[in-house]
Parts: sequence; structure tokens; C-alpha cells
Amino acid sequence: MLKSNLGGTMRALFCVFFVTLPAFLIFCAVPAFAADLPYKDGDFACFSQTEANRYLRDFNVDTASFGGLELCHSAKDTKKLLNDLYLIEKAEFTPDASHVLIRNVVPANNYYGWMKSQTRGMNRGNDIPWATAYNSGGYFTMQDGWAALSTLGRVGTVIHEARHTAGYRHYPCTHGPYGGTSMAGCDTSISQQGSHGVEMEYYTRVVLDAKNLHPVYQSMARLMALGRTNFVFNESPIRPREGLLARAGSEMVLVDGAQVYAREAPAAPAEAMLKRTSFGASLVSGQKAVAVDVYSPSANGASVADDYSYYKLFTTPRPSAPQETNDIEEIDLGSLRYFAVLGEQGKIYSYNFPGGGWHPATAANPGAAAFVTRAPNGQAGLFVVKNDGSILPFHLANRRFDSPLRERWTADTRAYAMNGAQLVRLASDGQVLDAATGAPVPAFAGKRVSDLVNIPLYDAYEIHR
Amino acid sequence: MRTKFIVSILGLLLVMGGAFFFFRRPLAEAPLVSAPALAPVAAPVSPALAAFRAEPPRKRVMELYERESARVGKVDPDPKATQKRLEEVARELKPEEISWLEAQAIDPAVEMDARFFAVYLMGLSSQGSTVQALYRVAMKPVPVTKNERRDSEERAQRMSAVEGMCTPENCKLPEARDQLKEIIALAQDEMVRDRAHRCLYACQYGKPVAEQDKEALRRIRQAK
Repeated sequence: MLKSNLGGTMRALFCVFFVTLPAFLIFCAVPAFAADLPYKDGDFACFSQTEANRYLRDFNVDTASFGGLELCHSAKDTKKLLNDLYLIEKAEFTPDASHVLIRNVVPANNYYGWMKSQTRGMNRGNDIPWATAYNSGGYFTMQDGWAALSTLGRVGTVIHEARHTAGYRHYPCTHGPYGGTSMAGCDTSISQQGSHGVEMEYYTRVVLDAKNLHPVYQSMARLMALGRTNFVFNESPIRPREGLLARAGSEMVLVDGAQVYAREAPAAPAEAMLKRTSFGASLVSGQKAVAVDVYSPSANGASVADDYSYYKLFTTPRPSAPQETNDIEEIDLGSLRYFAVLGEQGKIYSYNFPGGGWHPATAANPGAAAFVTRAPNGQAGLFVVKNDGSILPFHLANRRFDSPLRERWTADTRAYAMNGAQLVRLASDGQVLDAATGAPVPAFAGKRVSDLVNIPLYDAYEIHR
Repeated sequence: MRTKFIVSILGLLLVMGGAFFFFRRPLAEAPLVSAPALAPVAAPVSPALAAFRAEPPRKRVMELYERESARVGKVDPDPKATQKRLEEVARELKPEEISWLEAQAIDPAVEMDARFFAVYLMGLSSQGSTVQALYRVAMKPVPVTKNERRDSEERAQRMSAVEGMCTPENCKLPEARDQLKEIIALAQDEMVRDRAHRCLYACQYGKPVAEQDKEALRRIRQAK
């Protein structure tokens, strides 16, 4: 008890001399300098004149073209550039040499030095308004588009431009927003290690290896890496792959490359047809559909209504909707999704997604029997097979028929599909055959298949055995 | 001068009060006889959360938004602590605050760092009203302009909104799954739809979308 009281007295003395007195002095002093210190986070991030000068000198920045020197306000372009260079200099990464998107073109611990070595000067302009920035002989001109970006987007742009200094140019894109135009906006592949490659390397490091970057910045980098990697390389590394799914009674067979998986078919009406959907596949009967979970081996006896995909369109009455539903297809062509119905009298209805309603139906098309999405020649698209075996391609973009194909649909064929690069045919006796040789496809040996479709499989999805 | 003196006196009283508590605490913590079992104590509240709670609704989120969104494009010495701080306050968001954040998220005049931050914060909130707001953000058409990088950012923001809908808590909400399915059915952008697919997968198998993405990246590594 005595010890306790003695300890308490000592603690009181300690408080008076080492806590209260200094605190009193600090309190007296605070008002003297409080007015000089900013209280908002944004204001704390002002650059010193010395620090700013170092960046501007290192990168030979034409400050006047960025609107003059600005040390504090991030709404000004000079400050935006300073923020970008600061982040490039101060970001720290754990080395990860083995990642395919990380080729160590830029050393992880020396982005700043690398940037400096690739930059002869920076200025601000808007002489090429459709570009975000451009590099001419090591001199970067940042356009209005650059200033409108997020911090991550601006940093990515600056790093991207720096790679051009070493002579890496772009090529016309085979897909994505620049696809089909003459504008050179893509790299051929990741292995080219061009500007997009270096930019993706940065984003990937931010996602996987950053030690001191904000969680929101990291989240943005992950989504930007996925979103852009999808189209800036003509040889795209991230892309949904095509699987082959067959229905054989109560069983389903999924072929994913060299792997073959058995799947339990969900409970569905006997007349239901297996159809490709945006998320995989469904068993469709009229306007009703049951979802097939291709990622899981068992449906556990469940029958899950497919309101994942376009069948949901039927749940709400909409003007100009089909009166009959004889067949139905959902197709993604490029980055656009189409949804078509073979309605009464062979009329084709397609859904106008941006407009939120049905397009006017096509003229009647007597004898139209069914949709197929793979022609006997292997061509993909939407085709109408008629009772006489003729095959009419239907262009969903302009909703017009093309001339009939030379090939005809034979009575002993139920479907064509791709098994990797191999065109396969589902015969009416339930055999799956190589379309060219007629040889049975081993993955379906011993099965009596009733339906066969290609389905999208997504890279990040794990297929459970 | 007089104000300075009054402030100093108040400060002194405050510090002395603190010292008094400091002095008293050991006696209370070292009882001579065994104490009866203590009632459960609420989890300690972090200073950031306490400060957030002390402010009136809406004003507090506006201040938080201004302060925290400015940090997005800066070096962060402790990203994990930031994440924890944001999660704490996000759980306390009220419907009117979520509406305000939604308005920021879809306002093209607002800087993208801040718009992204608004979506990210809503995604940490895990409430039914947040799911609705995130759905509306996700379904905003991705613009097609000459600034395709900006378009990419708009797309990434929609993708982030989708991800916010499939936190473990949101996955338990039937409306979250329904609206993810609507995005799959109706969103025009392929990557936004892909996010919704991955989200549904996350809800079904429990693997977060970010983890799926990392696996996708690793798979690319193995493929090469």
C-alpha cells in the first residue's frame, strides 16, 4: 500500500514537471504559429520552392505552358505534374521479377531515375486534342486529356510517354475502341515491351507490390490494368476463353482446353435447349430458362431460374415485344451484346439495349426454323436455318439478312461448335464428330449428346472438379 | 493577448485534468481484493471514428470526403491503416450521406480521384441503400469520347461500383444479387458485365473479386 502511494506521489511529480509544465508552455506558444500552419490535408501537400525547382529542372518542364509555377493548388496543371513526379519518385515496390506483366523494363526501385533518363522536356499544349499526350524526340506534350485524368491516369500517361523515347511506337488496333480505325493506338503484344507494356507493368506493380500507395489508388490500378490490358494489346493476354459444353441426359460435359469435366445438369423441362449465355449457359424452354453453373460439378438438385441474363427482359412487358418465341439467342460481338428472338412467321426481334426496348421486327421470313450461331463452314454469328436447309446470315448491327450461305444445313446435324481450333459437329444420333474427318471426338466417347454449345469461360473463374 | 491568456489557462486545466486521471488509474487497476467479474466493455473507438461520430451527419461526410479523397494520389505510409480507417467510418454512413456520395460519384465535374473515392467508400459501407446507389453508378453508361483514357477511368469507376456490391455482407442481401444479375443482363460495357460475373462468383464461392483478379494475373504468368 505504502509502495503504491509512493508510486502515486512520484507519478504526480512526474506529471507536474514533465507533462503539465511543458504542455502549458506549448499551449502558450501554439497561437503564435498556428496561423502559419494549414489545417486541410490538401494544403499540407504544398511543395517547397526547392523541391518543385528540382522536379522542374530534372524534367526540363516548360512551367509557363502549364500555367506558371503553382506549389499548392492541385487544380492547377503545374501542381498536377508535380504531384505525378512526386508520386513516381516516392512510391516503393517490393521486387517481383517473375510476373508476365512485370518485365523489369523499368527498375522497380528507380522509376524516377528511369523517367529522367527518358525525358528531354515536358510542356503543356492542346495541339492534338484527340491524344492524351505525345512524345516527340523525348519532349512530351501533355494535352487537355491528360489534365482531366485521375492521378493514376496521369502518372500512367507520363510513364507511357517516356517509353516512346526509346523508339517504341504504336500499331493499328485489331479490337477495342480503336479497332477498325487507321489510328495507331495499340502495342502488338506484351512481349513487345512498348509503352502500353510499361504502363501495365506500373499498374501491376501498384496492385501487387506497392508498399506505400493509397488503397483507392491501388484499387484503381487493378481495374485499369484489367480494363486496358483487355484491348491495348493486339495479342490480348486477358480474355474470356471459349469452352465447349454438351448435354447428355442428366449429365453435362464441359471441355476446357485439354481438361474434360463432368457436370450434373440442373432440373429442367425435357424439351429445354442448351443455350450459350453471357455468364455461361442456360437450359431454355420458351421464355423460361434454368441457369447452368459450369463452375461447379453438382447442381445439388437445384433448379435456379436464369434471371442472370437476357431472359429477364421477358419479365417486364415492353412495347413491340415478340408474340411468339420460337428460338432465342444472346451473342456478344466485339464489345457489344445482342439479343435476338425468332418470333412469329419467322420475324426476327432484337433488343435495343441503349434504347431500353425492342427494335421493330424484321419482315416475315416463311420457313425460318431455328437460330444457329455456328455455320457448317465454322463461321460464327447469328444464322437462321430454314426448313429447306438454307442458311441465312443475319447482321445484328443493321438488322438485315445477308445472302444465303453456299453450305446447307443437313438433316442429320444438330449443331456445330468449336473444340479449340477444331470444328465439331453434333450429329442427330448424339455423336460428336470432327466436322472435317467425321472421327468421333474422344471427350464425348460413349455419350449420347442432345445439345452442344460454345460457352464463355472467364479467366479468373476456377472450375471445380 | 487576453484571449491567448484565457486559452492557455483552459489548456492548463485540461492537461491537469488529464494528469489527475493518469494519477488515479493505477489504484483502480490494482485492487487489493479480487474484483467481481466485469461487464463486457464496448470495443475501443479509434480517434478517427470518434471524430467522425462527433460531427453532424452529412457535414461529417463532406469533410471526410474532402480530406480523404485528397490523399488518394499521394504517398500513403500505411495503406492498411487507411483501409481500416475508411472501413470504420463507412460502416457508419447514413442514407442521406450515401446519397450525397452517389451524387459526387456521378458528377463529371468532380475530379476522378474524388469520384473514385466516393464509390470506394460506399463499397465499404455494406448496407442495402448503398447497394442501390452503387447499382445506379454501375449502370451509368460508360462515355465514348476522344479521351479514351478518361473513358477507361469512367469504366474502372463503374467496375469499382460493381465490386462494392459484392462485399461479404452485401452478398447476403438478396437485392444485391438481383441487381448484379441485372447488370449482367443489361449493362452495355463488357468489362462492367465481367465485374458483375466475378461478383456473383464471389458471392457464391466466397472468393473476393480482388483475389480473383490476382489469380487471373498469376494465371497469365503461368501461361507464358
